[in-house]
Amino acid sequence: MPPPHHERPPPPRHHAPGDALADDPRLDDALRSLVDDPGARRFVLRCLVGEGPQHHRASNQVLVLLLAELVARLDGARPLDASGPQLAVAMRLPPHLRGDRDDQRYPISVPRAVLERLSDDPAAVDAMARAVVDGPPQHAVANVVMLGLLAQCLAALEGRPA
Amino acid sequence: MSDPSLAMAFSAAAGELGMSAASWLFLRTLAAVEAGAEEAAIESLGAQFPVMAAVGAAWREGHRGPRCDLEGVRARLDGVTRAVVLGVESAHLDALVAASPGLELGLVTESPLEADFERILANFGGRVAAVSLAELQRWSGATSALVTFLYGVDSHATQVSPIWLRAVGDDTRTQFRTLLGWNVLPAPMPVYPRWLVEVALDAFTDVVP
Amino acid sequence: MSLAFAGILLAALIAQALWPGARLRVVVSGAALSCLLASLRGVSTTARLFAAVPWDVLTILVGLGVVTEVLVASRLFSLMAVRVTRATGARPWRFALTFALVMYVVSGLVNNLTALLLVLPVMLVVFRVLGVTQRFLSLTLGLLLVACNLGGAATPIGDFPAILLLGRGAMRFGVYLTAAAPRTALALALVVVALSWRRQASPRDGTEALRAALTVNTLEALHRGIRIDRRYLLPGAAALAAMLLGWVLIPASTGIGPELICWLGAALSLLGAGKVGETIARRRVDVEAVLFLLSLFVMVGAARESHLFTDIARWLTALPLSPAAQVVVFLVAAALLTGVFSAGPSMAALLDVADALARQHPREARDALYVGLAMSVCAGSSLFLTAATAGPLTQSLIERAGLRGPDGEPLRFGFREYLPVGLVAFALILSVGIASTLAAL
Repeated sequence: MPPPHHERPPPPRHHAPGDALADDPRLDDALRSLVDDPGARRFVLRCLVGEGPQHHRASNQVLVLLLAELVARLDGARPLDASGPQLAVAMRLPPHLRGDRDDQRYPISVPRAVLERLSDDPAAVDAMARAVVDGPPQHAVANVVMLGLLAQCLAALEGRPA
Repeated sequence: MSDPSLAMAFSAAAGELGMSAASWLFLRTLAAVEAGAEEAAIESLGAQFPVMAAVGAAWREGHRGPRCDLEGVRARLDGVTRAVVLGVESAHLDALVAASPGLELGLVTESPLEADFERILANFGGRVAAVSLAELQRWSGATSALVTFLYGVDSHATQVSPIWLRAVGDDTRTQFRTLLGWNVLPAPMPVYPRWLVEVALDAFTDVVP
Repeated sequence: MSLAFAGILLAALIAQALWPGARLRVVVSGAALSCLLASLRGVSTTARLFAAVPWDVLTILVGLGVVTEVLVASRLFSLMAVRVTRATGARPWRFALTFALVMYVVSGLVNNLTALLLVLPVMLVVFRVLGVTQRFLSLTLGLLLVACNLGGAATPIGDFPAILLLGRGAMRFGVYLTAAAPRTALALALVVVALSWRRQASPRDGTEALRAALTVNTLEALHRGIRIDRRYLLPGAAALAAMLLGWVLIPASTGIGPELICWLGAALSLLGAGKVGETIARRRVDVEAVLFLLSLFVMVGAARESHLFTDIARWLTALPLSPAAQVVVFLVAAALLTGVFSAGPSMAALLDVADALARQHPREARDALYVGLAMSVCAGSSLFLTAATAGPLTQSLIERAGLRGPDGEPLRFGFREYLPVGLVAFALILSVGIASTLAAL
């Protein structure tokens, strides 16, 4: 038997105690229409509710679940239009460490057209796009996810494909 | 064999083969030369190297090689195109390299023990690239993974090389799709994990127990 | 005037020996000063001094270094060290002896410093796993360094002094080889016999077989997937073999000298090694050694213009001693100077004196004198740990390795630990050199 000081200390936890909701299976369902690949979806979900400050995780969870409910009620869950210009979140890497691989961005994108509803001025839309995808992933990826859900809601309300 | 020189011998092997692989190598070699010699090594080295203590316990239970759930690892790396390994366990690395011809592999060239990484990498015939901590993010991506070895897993915690803590912070965690822990010990370590650090299991996205 | 050039040369030699960390700055500055003084006093010009530099010697040095690097890329040396350990069963004294013999042979063919750099990491693993005493560590490493020095002197391409003899045309390849190889082999045998009484390898506690098995198995596990890379072994080995054949078979009357043979061989190995060959040519040429020797040659050239060396030779031959005794004085002085100043500087300075002395003797005796000089330089290189570049390099590798003895005490390999081996080797190598030279006079 090892001496008392060899006894194990309580383990450090990466998740905060209030993170039990992060395993909510409704979150995966909420993103299913936005991110097809299960592994990629899991990664996006982790960025939203598994990493970063607790208040961001919880907020993301609440907002995504509510938006997903809205999408469901509008029967609007369908893949977004990938044919036009897209909003994507690049990983925040030091410039000298950016490789030439195209997967150094998060596996989600939404049509940029959703922002164009707010302004006809391309410069203003550019500014909005830069703001939306800026910041750590619990901000930027969450913004894009929520924009995607909002785009589905708006399309459903207008009775057209997302 | 005196304790200090045996410990130095074990460190030399563990630095480049990994604590678990070195433990199995020592026990198999000693047992082959002189029946019972491995018991003295378990007692002597086990007190200084907890991984040896855990491997020694498994040896006494009749195990003769490391735990290596390669299929479990391959399943969890499905969709991953490149992986950076932190820490060295030669038996597991050899198996991963052999079983994953399409996977781009890197090894972080840092160790808490003295290790000649040029020699370590030469064993893989160019399949594994050297990755310094400073350039770890060059390997990041939506299909990239960080892999490290776990030394015993219980219901909520595990032990890893301190290199994992040096490399994986809040920034890198969200730049790799998979954070995989691969257990190499058949049971949690019985003594305080010197040389290693304890982390919660939920620090990983995937654990191969 | 000759005193001024001698002063610059001597001051540079002393300063580089005292402050090895500044040796390149010292000799480069000394060479520049020599050029300046020679130009100002009308003794010579920089162009003339540079024209007198034995470029053929530097070409051979660089060429052999390049071929060695191609062989290094094949991982030949580290795998050779693993196989040697396995062949000896990691039995300590057998291990030490075999490594010494292997390094003796290797040092005769390629740059021993590079080979040593690649073999030492394997030896360090052996020391760690085997568990060695301070005495065994000192003896093994000491013997290894002496074997490298002797191997370097055994062939005309092994080390700088012999290359200088070959490059300057003082001796033909085959003549030097047939004279020097048996003498260095005899000296190595004597050193081994003299040191063997000190051989207590590791603590005798009944665990020798366990330690040996652990050592062999660990070493094999560390190199389990490493293979010789034939892409580099073939061009490197083929080039070296072709060069050896060329040196032995192509007569000087063809106009194809040893330096051209070396250059062609180096080019062949670089071409054969593909992209790695280009990398070696760009980054792995030992510019430090070339610059160091170039500077020495310039200083020696300036001193030569002022007739310093002929003055010394005249003084030596005017000594009230028999010609044989004069040769002995010269060889002992050469060995001691090498011990203090290292091989490059002393050989560069003393070869002119040897030339002057040699002219007093018939052709066969001249060859013996040159080989005797190479043996003296080899003895001097073996005297102190600091006398040859490999010594401090080994010392720093051992310091960094943090080796510990059976009771956990730190093990060292420094000036003091090497000295007993160095004194024995110095006396024996010098004795063989003097005896064989006198026998030929």
